Amino acid sequence: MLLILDDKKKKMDFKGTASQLLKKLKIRREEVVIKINDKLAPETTEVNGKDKVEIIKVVFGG
Amino acid sequence: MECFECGKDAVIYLPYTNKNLCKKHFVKMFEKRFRKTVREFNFIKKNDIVVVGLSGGKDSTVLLHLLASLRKDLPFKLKALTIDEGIKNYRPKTMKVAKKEAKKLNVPLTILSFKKEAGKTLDEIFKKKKELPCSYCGVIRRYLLNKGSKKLKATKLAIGHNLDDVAQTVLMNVMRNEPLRLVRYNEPLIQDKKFIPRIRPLMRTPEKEIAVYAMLKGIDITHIPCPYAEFAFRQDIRRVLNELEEKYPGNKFRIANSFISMQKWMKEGLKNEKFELDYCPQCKEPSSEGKCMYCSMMEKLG
Repeated sequence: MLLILDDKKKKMDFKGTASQLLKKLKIRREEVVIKINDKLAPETTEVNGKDKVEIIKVVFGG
Repeated sequence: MECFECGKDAVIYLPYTNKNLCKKHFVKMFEKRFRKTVREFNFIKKNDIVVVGLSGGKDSTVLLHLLASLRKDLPFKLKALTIDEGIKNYRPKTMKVAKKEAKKLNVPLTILSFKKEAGKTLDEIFKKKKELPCSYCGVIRRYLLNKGSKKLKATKLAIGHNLDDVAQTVLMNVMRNEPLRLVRYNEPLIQDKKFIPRIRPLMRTPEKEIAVYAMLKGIDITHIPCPYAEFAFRQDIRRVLNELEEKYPGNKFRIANSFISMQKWMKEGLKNEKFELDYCPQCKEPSSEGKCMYCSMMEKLG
């Protein structure tokens, strides 16, 4: 799986839902949106090895 | 994942209803909730002059779009007011969005700056005081929003406060033991023509959903944090509430709903109390007692 977080790309092995991925990365679900293969997707979506998963921070404060 | 309503590809999961929604059904739900909130609190009347406090961040930019669209069904004038606090590498980027989106919607935009109005940018204030920039920023920004709105002959000042902001504000005021601030949230205890009433049409909308709506509608939003946000008490409250929301979905809605119910009872309990408004001897603006916060801060800053 290709993970894009804070504009940084990283390859990682992961199997599960996007929500489980956020938990693994210790990212609060309420503060991000997820794009899977360039499309907005719910965190309930299963992610597989070929997917490109982008985590975009949208809640910052200010 | 499939949309709960139509079975098409979902774009968002709403944990508080345990439903996935597609673009069409999410946008429909989002816009319906905005209009329902405007009606629920009677935020806008026919022929109002509504000034949007437009920072160029996602909340106020989406609010501008929703209000512009509402004008098709309810005739009112719409203007925008941007406050340039003078925050390097942050505000110029969001101001660019504010200018672009206001122009796109044909909404006249006025810009007031800390530098011109208060003599110092927020960056300069922080360099000098090295303490709580958010307190200074909040007081000066509110003062300039009110001042600017009056100049624009506003009858309402619309701000992009969302559900997360409401839940945070409730907890912050409880933790600071400031119940009167809660009572006057959305509606001042004393009406005065020098106070432009503030309306918060996104107060029932979760912050994350505003970002998703903006992305789906192609509204330009920036994904950059205010460099001073880390100093704010609000930032800690935000983190705690978002952690709780994951464990107990719907928590923010319940805090806001409890607050709205309690506010009615608190107002009822205070109906025989007399609150007097004072005027600042320096700037002549309304003040709770003597010199206003803005003038006191200006004096401190020298």
